[in-house]
Amino acid sequence: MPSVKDLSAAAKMNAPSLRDWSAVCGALLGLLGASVLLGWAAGVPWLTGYWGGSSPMNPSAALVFIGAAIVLWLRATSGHRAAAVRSADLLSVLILLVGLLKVLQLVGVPVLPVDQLIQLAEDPLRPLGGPTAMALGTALGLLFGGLGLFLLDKPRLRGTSSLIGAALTAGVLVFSIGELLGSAGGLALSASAPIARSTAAALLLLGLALTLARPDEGIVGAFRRNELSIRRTLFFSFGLTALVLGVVVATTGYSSVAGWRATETRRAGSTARRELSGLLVSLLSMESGQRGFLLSGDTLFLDPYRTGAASVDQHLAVLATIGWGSAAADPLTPLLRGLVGRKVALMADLVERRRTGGTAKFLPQFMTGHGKAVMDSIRVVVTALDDIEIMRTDQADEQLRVAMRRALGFGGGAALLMVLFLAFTSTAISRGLAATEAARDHIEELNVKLEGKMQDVETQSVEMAAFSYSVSHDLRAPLRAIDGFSRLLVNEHAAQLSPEAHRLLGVIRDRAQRMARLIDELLMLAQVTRREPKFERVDQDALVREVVGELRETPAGQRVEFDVGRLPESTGDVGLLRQVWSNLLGNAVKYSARVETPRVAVSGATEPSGELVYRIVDNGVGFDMAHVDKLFGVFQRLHAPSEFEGTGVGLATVQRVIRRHGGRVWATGSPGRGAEFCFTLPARE
Amino acid sequence: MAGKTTDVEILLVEDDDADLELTLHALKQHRLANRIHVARDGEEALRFFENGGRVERLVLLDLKLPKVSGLQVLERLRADERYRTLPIVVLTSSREEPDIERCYALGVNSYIVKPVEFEKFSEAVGKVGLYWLLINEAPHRAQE
Repeated sequence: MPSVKDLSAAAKMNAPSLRDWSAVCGALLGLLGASVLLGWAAGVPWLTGYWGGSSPMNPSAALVFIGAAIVLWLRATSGHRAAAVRSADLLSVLILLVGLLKVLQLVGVPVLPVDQLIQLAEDPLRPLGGPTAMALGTALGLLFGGLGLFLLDKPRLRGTSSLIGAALTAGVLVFSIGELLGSAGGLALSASAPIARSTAAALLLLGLALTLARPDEGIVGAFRRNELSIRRTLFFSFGLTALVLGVVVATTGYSSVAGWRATETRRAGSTARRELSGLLVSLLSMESGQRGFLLSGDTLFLDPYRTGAASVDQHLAVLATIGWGSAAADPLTPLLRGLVGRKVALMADLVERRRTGGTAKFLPQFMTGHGKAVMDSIRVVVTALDDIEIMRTDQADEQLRVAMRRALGFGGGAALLMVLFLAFTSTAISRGLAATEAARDHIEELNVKLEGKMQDVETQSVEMAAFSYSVSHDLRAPLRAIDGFSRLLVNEHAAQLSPEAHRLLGVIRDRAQRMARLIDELLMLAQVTRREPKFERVDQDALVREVVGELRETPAGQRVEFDVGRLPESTGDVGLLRQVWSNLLGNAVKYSARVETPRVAVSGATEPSGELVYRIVDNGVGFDMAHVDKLFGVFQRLHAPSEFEGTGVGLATVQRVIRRHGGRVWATGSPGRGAEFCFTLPARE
Repeated sequence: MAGKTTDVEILLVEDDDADLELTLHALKQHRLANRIHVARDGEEALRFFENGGRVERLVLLDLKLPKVSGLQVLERLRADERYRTLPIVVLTSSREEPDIERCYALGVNSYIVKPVEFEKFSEAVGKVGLYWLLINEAPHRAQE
């Protein structure tokens, strides 16, 4: 027969597939870390995790992942060996510390740049010589991963590491989907360096390994065993949904702000470019008006000159309000303003000379070529500024694209996670409901069975009553006849009877009377079973005094020295408890009758639990403890009727009464040393 | 003895031959068996009263009887105004609680369980007879 232990072990054996997956994830994690380290050492870019334009994995991170794989291996294989547990704990704390230190560093706390302690080569994506840095996402991942590894197999927090693992997995998934949908940028948390794709893969492996490490514990185990209550399911589901929604709101909000900024930049850029070309056009129309006037002296040509001058001022005013957002543009704008002022002043001077004098007055000035040189400079500056604006607009376009893709990616990732949660929740709830329904059906089924049983019991009870009635009436009458007529024979025909006939008639009468007693006691036993006990307050002192008083009037009882102590009150059926005392005290008297000075002591006590204990000790013949199990059986006797008269029903009745009261009865004794009978009654209500 | 309209001291209702003999023996032993009428079942007992029979002192009634049970006899007699105060003692083998309760509810004067042991049986019957016939004052207006 398989024991319960075997069965539960067999049940656990059914779950190895998930544990195996955890081991596979752990092994892959270790391999990935090792290969990245090898890649850095050997200078093989694709080994370092330089996948599809992603940055490579930080070597410190690679080392930490190898450590994580070792912790997983130690936890899985070494059981509870103290040394293994200590090493695993230490490694986990180190991993957690690496993550914590980097997070602190990234939020601006001046701590050791732990990720830059190991530098095997320079980051190929940053050829300017900057050290490879760990991303904020990686640091957070290590923080959670380390915590999960530390908590794995901690007795009071079973299942916590599974939850942390699941959270880690979910987080990496959201960011990864963002990365896949939005190209580079999804894995970037805030403005820091994006997580390398290889690092994301490693964190995913770590998260999965933690989630599946102990598939029978915590919420995972509860879900798999279908023990998750609907309330807990809803609680977890709501918590996770709120968490994901929070992350989504934060990231899409961030992306929206970035996108809005990009559009603002773009608009500023196009305004700047429009104003720059407008400025050039206005200057040109001024110049051509001025030239016409110089050649003809006709003031009609001064109209375009004047309107051009007005719009040059306007354009300059607008350009002054534009923020260029570039260090290269900063010296150019005052330069442009100066050059334009110079050009306008030169033109005004020529126009003035022509108006007050003749050709001779302005020609030498015109021939200096100053105006053309200034105009050429203006063109160069405007083109430079325009180029800057084109670049800025392009950048803004790119930022907008990234922001939109990121929002899209997070939204998609979150939607996918929500679908997963929904599937999990609905599965758990429907399973919970199914279990509830099954339980209800089972209860109904049991109820029907119980009702059937109750009817059986009632029928039996009625039959038993009829049987007892019949026994009571019909079995005693023949016995009375046997006894009575034997007696009449002895009384009225004594002369005709030999001594042997007298003896034989005595035997007949003795057996008939014994059978009558047996019937009486059996009927009593049946009555105990049938009768519903009437519970009331029982003054045990008075009850015992009464029974002892009756016994004192019997021949055997007269010799006995009774010692009755204080007895606690109880609740119970007085009539039935009277039978208990009568049987137990009667036995004590009967079995100590042959002793020189028979003594029977009665005592009682209230246990600290409130249970009441009553004791009857005699110094009679006692009994062998080897037969103690037969003591309370019906018709079981330890003495021959010739030795001590009795039917073997009394103690069975005692046991039945005490059990019906919810108590226990037991006996101890040894041959020739007396016996002790104890019974308990439940605490008084 | 049976069937005749008479006045008797004791009406003994008993179906069992052996019990009847032992009861009569016990009554004789105590010199109480002067005017006894014996009915062998409940129907006969009731017929004794219907035929105008009068019981001066006591009805000794067994419970388990053919045709009409002792309980029914008791019930019928107590329902009749004339026999409401007639002393009736149940003398039976049964110690069953329902029997005892029912008898007292119907107004029995005494309930005696027949002991199996002859000495005790004889003593019980004798004491009952002595008490109701000699010690007790019977109601005089009964059965008019």
